[in-house]
Order: sequence, then structure tokens, then C-alpha cells
Amino acid sequence: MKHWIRRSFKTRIFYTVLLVSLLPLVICDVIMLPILIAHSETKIAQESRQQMALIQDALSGLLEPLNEALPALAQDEVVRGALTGDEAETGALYPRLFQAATDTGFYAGIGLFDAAGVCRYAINGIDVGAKLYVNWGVLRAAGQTDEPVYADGADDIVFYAAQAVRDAQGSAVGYVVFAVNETKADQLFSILSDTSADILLLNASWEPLYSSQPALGDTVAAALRQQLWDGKKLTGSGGEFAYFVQRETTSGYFLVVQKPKTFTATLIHAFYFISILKGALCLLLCFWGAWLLSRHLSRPIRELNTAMGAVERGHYAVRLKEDREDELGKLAEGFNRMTREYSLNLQRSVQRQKELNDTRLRMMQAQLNPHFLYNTLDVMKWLGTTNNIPVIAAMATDLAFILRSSITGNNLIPLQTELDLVEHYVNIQNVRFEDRFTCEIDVPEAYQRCLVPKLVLQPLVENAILHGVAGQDDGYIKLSALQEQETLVITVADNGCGMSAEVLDMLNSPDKRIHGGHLGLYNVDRIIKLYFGNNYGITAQSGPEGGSRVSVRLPMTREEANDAQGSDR
Amino acid sequence: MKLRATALLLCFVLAAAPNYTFAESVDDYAPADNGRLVIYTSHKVEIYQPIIREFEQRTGIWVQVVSGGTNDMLKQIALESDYPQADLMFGGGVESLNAYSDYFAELPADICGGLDTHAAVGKKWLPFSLLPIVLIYNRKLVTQPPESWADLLDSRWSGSIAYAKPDVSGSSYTALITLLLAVPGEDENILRAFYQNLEGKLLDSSGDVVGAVSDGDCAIGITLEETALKGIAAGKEIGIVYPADGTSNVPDGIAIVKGCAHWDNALTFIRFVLGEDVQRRLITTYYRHSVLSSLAGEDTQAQEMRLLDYDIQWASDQKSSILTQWNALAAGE
Repeated sequence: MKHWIRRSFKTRIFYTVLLVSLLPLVICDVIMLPILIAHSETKIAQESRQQMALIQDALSGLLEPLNEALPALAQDEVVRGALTGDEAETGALYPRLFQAATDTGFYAGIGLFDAAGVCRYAINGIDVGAKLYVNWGVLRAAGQTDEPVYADGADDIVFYAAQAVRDAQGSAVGYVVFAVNETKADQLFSILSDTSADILLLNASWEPLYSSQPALGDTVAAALRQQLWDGKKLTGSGGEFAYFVQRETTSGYFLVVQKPKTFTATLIHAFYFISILKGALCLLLCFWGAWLLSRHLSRPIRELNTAMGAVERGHYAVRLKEDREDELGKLAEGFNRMTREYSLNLQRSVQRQKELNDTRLRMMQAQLNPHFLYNTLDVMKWLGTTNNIPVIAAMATDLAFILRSSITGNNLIPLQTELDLVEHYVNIQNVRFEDRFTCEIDVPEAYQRCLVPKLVLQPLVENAILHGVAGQDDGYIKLSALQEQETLVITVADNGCGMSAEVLDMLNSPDKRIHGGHLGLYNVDRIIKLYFGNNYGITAQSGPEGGSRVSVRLPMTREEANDAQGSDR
Repeated sequence: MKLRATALLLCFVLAAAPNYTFAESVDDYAPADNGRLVIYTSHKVEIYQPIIREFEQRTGIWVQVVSGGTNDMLKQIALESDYPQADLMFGGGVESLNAYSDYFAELPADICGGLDTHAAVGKKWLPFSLLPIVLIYNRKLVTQPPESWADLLDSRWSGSIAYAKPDVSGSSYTALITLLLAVPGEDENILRAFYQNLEGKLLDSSGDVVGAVSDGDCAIGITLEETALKGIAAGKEIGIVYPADGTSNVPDGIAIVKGCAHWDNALTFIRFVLGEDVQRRLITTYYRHSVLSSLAGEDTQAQEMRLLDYDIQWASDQKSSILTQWNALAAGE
């Protein structure tokens, strides 16, 4: 599993997205909902306790005075007298009944029933002449004891409280009966009429006596009683309400407060249904997000990978798309720059190799017929000697030396050899120019063994002769050498006509162009640069009153050290 | 590793989520098993409820009531015979209780001391109240009401007798047997004469009889005294005739389910409903007659009523054959 997740970018992204999107959801649903429910239920329970206390107080406010009034009336001589038939006492009777009614807050009707169960005197809602069975219900219960008794009412009477009135022999001569009807009970419990709470008053067997809503008594009380019977929790008939129960000790009745739950079963089911929907939606979003993200991230990396492979196989022209501005975009840019630079370098090195080859080719071509020429020159030398024309003999000898130097196998030769070559060349040119210039070679002995490319000084001297001192009668050319750190600088100076600024610029610019008449200089520069790199080459200077100096800069390499290398070439 | 840690965290979160269910603990309020009683009843709620509530108030025993039709309740008891849920069957004609006597327990002999001699006493059931069959008539339509069962065969009442199907209504069947007992002659002939006099007019329910007579649909009817008296109390203009040749006084009964869980409470309940307080209320409140001989003096109507010697066992045994004859008459029409 872990391995599988780590194997690809896509699955990693998917699981990350899944985790970050589902975890808060799960936390919300699994922790928050129960906490919310618990909170709301605690709040309801708190409220209910307060409301329960209120109605408990209300009920006690009726039952406690009633419990005192019942024995008081039952043992009152006037009451006993009235029930045993002494009509004269009624004048004193009613004030007593009204006093009892006042004490009990006028919540109960009061009646005096005779031994046959017929009401003889009554106030506050009970009719005189009404009949109760003495062997049933409240009167029977009152007849069994000398204490106040409570019994279920009938029709609109919620409950009765009664006590027997007994004569001296202890037999019941009548009953004092308090009756609380529904209207009175409504008043009694009206303290909660503004709230969402409903009240049930149940008898000891959990049968309904009173309910603040008519439907409660029939259905809810039956459901609660059934739940109590089955030993279940009190959830009522629909599960939409919470119930709180308190027993009233005087009467043994139960007060039940019904409060609507904030989180009903339907709501919780709906909540969980929505949660599952949300989860499913999250999952879909995860797939979508992972797909998008992975495409966004893995595509450029895959492309980079492919491009890298192509580069490895030698396809340097491969380029990545640069359509992004993020890190991956920069990576692509860097890759492109790298391959561009690499291919450019390659191109340059190929070009250089090609040029080197061309130069070699030219040099080899130049060597094509040297032997024939050399032999010819030898013949010419002997002809000059035998015909007594020493100039021709000398020229032929010089030219032959130059030719021999040209055809030696070594490209790098000691400076001394090159200087000899220059000397021979100058000799030839002196014949041509009828000694109108002199050439002085002033190279210290120390540098004579330094290695230089073959035929690099001759073109310089040739240039100084042809473009410098050619038109003069007292031309002077000086060839000198000096060392600047590890660089050997060989300078050819003349006192000729100098160089135009244009030519100077051309010669001193790093990118020299072939210029008519200075091809020799250009070739020398190229050869040096090809051998030793761009740090070396030729530079030219020209004085304002004529004369020019062309310097060749070369690395200082001695013959001994580079003998082997030189002979390889 | 990381994955395992995440899973662990998730488990912890799930376990930590509060399992908060909320309802007050009220177990103490319900009585222990010995303070309970389960009653199956076919009585109407206005009869059983006051009686049971008075019983609960007097004894503190909690009663659970399951109510329904007599046959449904008895079938239910038969169905549950292996694991009886009910303790008592309260109500239902004693013929029906007799038919299901296999499912009822034998009652102690001393429990039925004060019962009226008229009330049949079975070993497995006891009568609770007496329900005579009476004739009723529309007081505006009928100036000379029928006086006896024999009058029902008079062509004067052809097609104007409100009578429910005896194969559907228990009281109708009782009435049919009473007719056979009261009118001398061959049962088959009496049945045919009575059927012909009905002219095929048979009501679907015994509850429709009072309405049919008071509406003038029928001039006279045959029903239970209780039903007739309730109709009069509700303002129906009908008169009652106690047949001069006597009537049946078939009781509804009460029986304890065999193997019940609350035997003592069931006996307490039987003693209570067969006690004077409840029996007196039958007379004063429920338009019924008491099964107690001690209360005979308080029941003037019962004193005047002439009763036939109605053999419940015989009626029960003959039920299928008589109904077969009856249905043959209906089919032969």
C-alpha cells in the first residue's frame, strides 16, 4: 500500500488531497456533531430543570396548603355539623370553605359530600347535588383512611383530593373533596405556556391526569408508560422530544416536561446523509484535483525526463515548452539554456577543427612540389656558380633554405630556425629591393630555443617590407624579442609609411577579417590562435610619423619540454 | 509508518467522540415484575379503563392493556401459548372462552363463592357480566310491539326485522339459539320460518341494529340489552321488549392464561372485578347485569326478566351445525 502510494506522483497527490479534504470533514462530523448534540441536550436539560422547578413549585403551592386544609376542614365541627344535617351551621360553613379556597389559590373546587356520596355544599366549580360513588374512586379511598387521599378525576376533573369526615364512632359521615379541573390546571401550569415545553401530569401508574396539550395525554403518555414498562429510555412516541420526570411526593403523581429536541433523529439522519454526500463530493473533488495537479506537475517532469534522454542520445536540438512561470518553468528554461549553450559549444569546436584542418590542408598543398622546386633551385645554384653569377647562386641557396624549412615535418620549430629562415628571406628581398633597407635581428640567446609555429615571422617581415619600407631608400626593420611573464613577445618594427587606422583596428580587433594585402598577418594570427588559444596572436601599432610595430604573442615553450609534442604534429 | 500514524489518529478521534445519549434514568418508577399484570381485553375502552384505573389505584399494580376483538385476542393467546404474554383474558363471550379453554388455567374453587346461580360457572373461566338479548322497536313506527320470540315468526314483521348475520356476530348467534329455545317446535322449521320472515335482510354488524331500527329502516330489531340501553341514552327513539317467553342471559367472561407470569395479580384482578364495587357499577353505569347474587336486589330489571335455560356448552357444540343449516337456507334462496 505504502509502496504503491509512493510509486507515483499521482497517487501521492491523491492521498494528500484526500487526507486534507476528508480529515476536516470527518473531524467535523464525527466529533463536532456529537458535541453539538451533547451541548444542545445539556442546554435543554438545564432549561428543563429550571422549568421543572417552576411547575414543581406551582404544584407544591397548591398541594401543600391543600394538604393542610383537608384535615382542618375534615375535623372542623362546623363541617361535621353541616354534614350530619344541621342546616343552621351553614352560615359559619361557607366562610371556612372560602378561606380554604383562598389558601389554595382558588385552583380547586371544594365540595362537602355526605355519606351517600351526594354533594351537599360546594364552592368554586363543584355543583351541589353532584354524586360520587362512595365505593369507587376518591370517596372509597378517603373512606379507607384518616389521611388526605388523592385520586384520579373523571371527565374534566384532573384529580381529586379528599378526606373523610368522621363522627365520634369513627364512621364516615361525609367527605371533604377538593377537585382540580382542567381549566384550573391550565392556570396552575400557565407559567410555562410561553415556552416550548409541554407538561404532563401522570398518576402513580403513569396514566395521564392532565396534559398541557390534549394530544399528549393520549399518545405520548401511553408511549412513555410503555417505555417505562419495557425498561427503555423515555423517548416518547416520535423521538422528537426529550422528557424529564419528577415525582411529586405529597400526591405520588409524576410531572413530566416534554421539550422539543434541537437535534431530532430526522435531523441527525439528514445531517449524516449530507455528510456522506459531502464525503462523496470530496472524493470526487480529490480525484479531480489529483488528476489536475498530477497532470500539472508530472507532465513537465515527464517531458524533462524525455528531453534529458534525447540529450543523452545526442539530440541537442530538443527544447522544452516554456509556458509556465513557476519553478518547473524555470527548470525548463534552465534546461533549454543548457542544451542551447552545449550545442553552440559543440558547433564552435567543430568549426575550429574544420578551420584547423583547412589550414593544414593549405600547408600540405603548399608542400606539394617542394622537392621538385628544391632540385630546380639546386640546379639554378650550380648554374649561377658555373656561370659566375653569384647573386643567382645566393638567391637560389636562400630560396632553397626557405623551401627546406617549409617541408620539414615539424610545425613547431625553434625560434632560431625561424630567424634563420627570416634571414634567408631578407637576403632575397634585399636583392629585389637593391639593398634599400636593412633588417636587424636582435633576439637574445635565451629565447632562441623557444618553440614557435613554423613560418610565423616571415609573413611579418614580408608585411614590413612590402607595406612598410618598400618605397624608401633607407628602410630599417628590427626584429626583437622579450618575455612578459610566461609570454614570449616577438616584435617586428619598421620605419616605413605606417598603417592606416583602419588596418590597425582590423588587426587589433579580436575578430580579424581578411584584408587585402594583409592576408599574411591574418594567417599568422589564425595559426597562433588555433595553436595556443585566443589569448595569443598578433597586435599592431603605428606611430603618428610613420613606422609600425607588429607584435606576436606566444606562450613561452622550450624545445626540450615540447620536443615530443612538436614532433607528433 | 506515516499512514499507520494517521490511521491511529483517526481511530483515536472516533473513539474520543462522545457517545452521549440522553434520557433521564427512570427505571425506579416502573414497578417490579410482581407488581405487573398484562390483560388482553375485548371490552370497549369506556368499560375497561375506569375499572383498570381503579384497580391500579387500589392495588398499586401496573396493568398493561392490549385491546381488540374477542377472536383476535383469543387467537393471539393461542399463538403465544408457548411463551404467554398475557395474564388474563378480560371479556369475550363465555362460549368463545370455552372454545379456547385449552389455553386457560384452571381457577381455584374458592374464587367464585358469591356468583349468581344464573351465571354459568366454568372451571377455566368465570362470568363477568350478564348481557340479555332483547327485542327493540321503533317507537314512532310500531304501536303494538312484539312481545315474544314467537312473534318474530309473525308475517306482520316480514322484511322489517333488523338482525345481524349470526355467522359474523356472536350476539346474533346467541339470539338465534334463544329463538330456538323459546319457540316450541322443530329447530329446522323454526330456522326456516325465521329466515323467511327476514326476507333476506341481514345486517353486517350487530352494531348496526339500533341504527337500522331508529332510522326506520326496520321496524323491530334483535340486539343486546346493553346496546339498546346505550342507544336510548344517546337519544335514539327506540323501545325495549323483554320477551315474555324468556330470553338468554349469556355472560361475557374472564379467564387466566395458562402459564401466565403474574398469577397472583391475575387472581387479585378477578376478585376485584367480581367484587361488589365493580359489579355494582355494571348495573349503575354500564347497562349490564351483575353476576353476583348478593346484588340481585339492586337490579330491578334483572328481577323482572324471565330467563331461559340457556346451555352454553350445547350452544357452543351446536354452533357449526346450526350455522351450516342457516347458510344452507341462505344458499337455497
